[in-house]
Amino acid sequence: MRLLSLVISDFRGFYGVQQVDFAADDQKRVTVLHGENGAGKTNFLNAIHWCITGKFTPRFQDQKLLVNKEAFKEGQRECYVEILFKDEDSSGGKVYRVRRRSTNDKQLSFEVFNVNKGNSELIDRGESLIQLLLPNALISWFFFDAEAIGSLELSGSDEFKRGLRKTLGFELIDRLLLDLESVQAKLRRDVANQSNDKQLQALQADMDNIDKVVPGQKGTLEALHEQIKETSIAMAHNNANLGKLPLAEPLQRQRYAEESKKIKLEDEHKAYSARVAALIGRAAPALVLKELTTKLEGKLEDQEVRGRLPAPYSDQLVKDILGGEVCICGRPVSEGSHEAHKINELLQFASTSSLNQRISDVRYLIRDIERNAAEFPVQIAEQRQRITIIDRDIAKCEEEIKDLSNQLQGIDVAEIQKLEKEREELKRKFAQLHQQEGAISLQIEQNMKRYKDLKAQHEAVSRKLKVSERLKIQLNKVERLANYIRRSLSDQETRALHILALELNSVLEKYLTKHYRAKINASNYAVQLVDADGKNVGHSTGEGQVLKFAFIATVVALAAKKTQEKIQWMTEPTIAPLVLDAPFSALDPEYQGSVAKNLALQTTQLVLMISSAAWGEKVAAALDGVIGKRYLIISQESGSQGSKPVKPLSINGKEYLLNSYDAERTQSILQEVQV
Amino acid sequence: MRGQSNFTKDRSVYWPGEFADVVNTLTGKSTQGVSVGNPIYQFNTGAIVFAASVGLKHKRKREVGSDRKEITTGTFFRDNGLEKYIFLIVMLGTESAAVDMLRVEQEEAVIREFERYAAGGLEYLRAEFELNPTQSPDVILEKMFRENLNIESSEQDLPDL
Repeated sequence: MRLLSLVISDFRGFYGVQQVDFAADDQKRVTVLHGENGAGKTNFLNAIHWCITGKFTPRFQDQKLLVNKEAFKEGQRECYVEILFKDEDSSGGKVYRVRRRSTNDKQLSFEVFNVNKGNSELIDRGESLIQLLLPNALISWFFFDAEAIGSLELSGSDEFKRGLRKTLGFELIDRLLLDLESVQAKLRRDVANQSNDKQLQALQADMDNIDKVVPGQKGTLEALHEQIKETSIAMAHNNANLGKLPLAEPLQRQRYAEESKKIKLEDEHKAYSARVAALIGRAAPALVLKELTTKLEGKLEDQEVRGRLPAPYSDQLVKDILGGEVCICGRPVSEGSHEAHKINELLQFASTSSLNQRISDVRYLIRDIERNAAEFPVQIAEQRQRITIIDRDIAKCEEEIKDLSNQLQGIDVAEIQKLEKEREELKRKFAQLHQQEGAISLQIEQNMKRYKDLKAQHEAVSRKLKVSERLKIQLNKVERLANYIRRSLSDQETRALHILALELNSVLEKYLTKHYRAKINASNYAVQLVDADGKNVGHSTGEGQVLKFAFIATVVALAAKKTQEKIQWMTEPTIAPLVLDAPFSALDPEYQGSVAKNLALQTTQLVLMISSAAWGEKVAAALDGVIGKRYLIISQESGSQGSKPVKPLSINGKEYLLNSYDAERTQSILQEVQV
Repeated sequence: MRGQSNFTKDRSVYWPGEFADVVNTLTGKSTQGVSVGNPIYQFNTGAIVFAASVGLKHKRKREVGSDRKEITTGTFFRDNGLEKYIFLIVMLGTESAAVDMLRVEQEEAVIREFERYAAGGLEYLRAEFELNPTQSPDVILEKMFRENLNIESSEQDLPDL
């Protein structure tokens, strides 16, 4: 998908009909839109996002106020966004027009047209076509609200792992495995029916029941994940809105700090509790056995002193006497003689190398037990004490949060009270959703475990029964295929993460002045930035922000199979523009140029919305030669200027103004600047 | 922890399947085997060694029975450094010839005796867990230690060497 143009009509700050043509050339593939804060950069990103997906980015507020306010006052009740794009993968490079219309309350239409020689032909099931060109899992990577880059979670949450798995195309393989499981289940059912064995049929019935229930439970879990995500976003908005109100801001800031502290303390509580449980496990045998072992050690020492431990003669001595048929005193010990028999009996009391080794092992173990029995109770007590302190700190936080909430609710400002009420409701909802999520996850896990047990029993029983050889072969084939795919998937997953790490590190190597590298945890997909000594650097540093941009660009490049090494088995390459709202403002100026250069290199088409503050010489130099189109998003105010500032922007020595006053109406204007 | 085995070959250690709930409690799993809490032991092996220690301490022994679960010495016991406990526990519980229990010929007998202590210990632990249904297993175990440490054991507890 390569964007050709966008037409926007009465959408948010954009009054009337306005158009942007995108740079769509391989060489000149970057379109830059310059605009100050509040000018409409996020609105522009969301115009593209909404037109294609029907949804908005998480930070997009007031989603029920889509129609431009000025136009609404004049009687206009609907808005639309239309995008013209080219599917370069299709034969001849088909051109499509996508158009979405809406009022403030509801969407009116979504249409996709095939544009051929200037004629537009409406396509049935346009949504499916768009899904195919830009899968849902990838949208948030391609249309990225970089202002929210701080909240990009690379620390390995379940949601991040799920998203990235989908992005890397593993979802299809997961689905294939599910299909194979259905085939296996059907064949097992056939075995049960053919054998007519009651036990097998009962096992099959139980498995069928689980098969019926689990998809529904998984669907519910998926829906709960979505609701939790939405509620988290709503809570973040609520917090941000409270923080904007002068009377509430200091209290809200304190409460937020206390809540963050409480979360950290609760995590610490969990970690210490797990540590105590493990310590108790290690201490338990030592504490139970200590008294007995102390006395045993005493007895062993006593034996040792008396020369009985080890035994005063070895099995080898006995064997040598019997073999040589001569006693150490010189008397003959002929085979089968009374003497030989007597000496042979000594073998059962002789020391042997394995006996000596075991005695030595046991004595070491006794010493370990004595040491552990002395040390572990102290360690456990220390950890328990730490937990008590944490619990006390949690209680203090809770009191503080309660007090701050009471103060906030006591402020006689309707807006604050409304937001506080909303906050309480959201918190309640969030807790409920989490509880439901936990319960349904447990049910799924229990069902899966039971299914596994039933399957093992089924296999054991069916092995003993007479069923047709053909059925057995089929079942065996499917099982082998499923196992092969599982193994290959695991290999591919490791390889994909390896490529991701390689690509990330090549970017970091080129652009960071420090010797940092990225490490990806294969179990939870957490991405860490580590220094030369392997120490975690953290994502909040300037370099951590570079890592996040590098990560976005790498995922986009992987999806487009634009990286040097490619992931096999992934879905068809997804070639789409990377549209970034307000990039670089979160970045250290030192890295802005290199990040811009990397983004341009890794993408097939790049649309950047950028403020004058983030548009420095380094960024300009990095993008020099690849910018094909350039627009200003000019913010016009109907009010007078008074003492308000005018924001200038210098491009190639020429100065432009990004805002103006005393305009006919308040609006955002898209104005092309010749490149 | 992987090292040379204390046994001359891989041997199976059995424990009664009827006490799966006790082993699950010690390994932080629900009755269905799903992770639910902080595990005291990561694997069943640790739980069985602890149970055998408890069986010995409280002189509780019983046969494993036909419904049994298996652990192999060559993998989990050896890898977790727990094989030596099998010998030690049996040695501590044997009335006579304790050192001779460590001879190669006694391996099978040692394991069977260890299993009996483990089964007895599991039974004892189940009663403890049932007595304190609202407490987490780590708290119950800590309480048990405190009580155990106050009990003076007599000379007869010891085997005659």
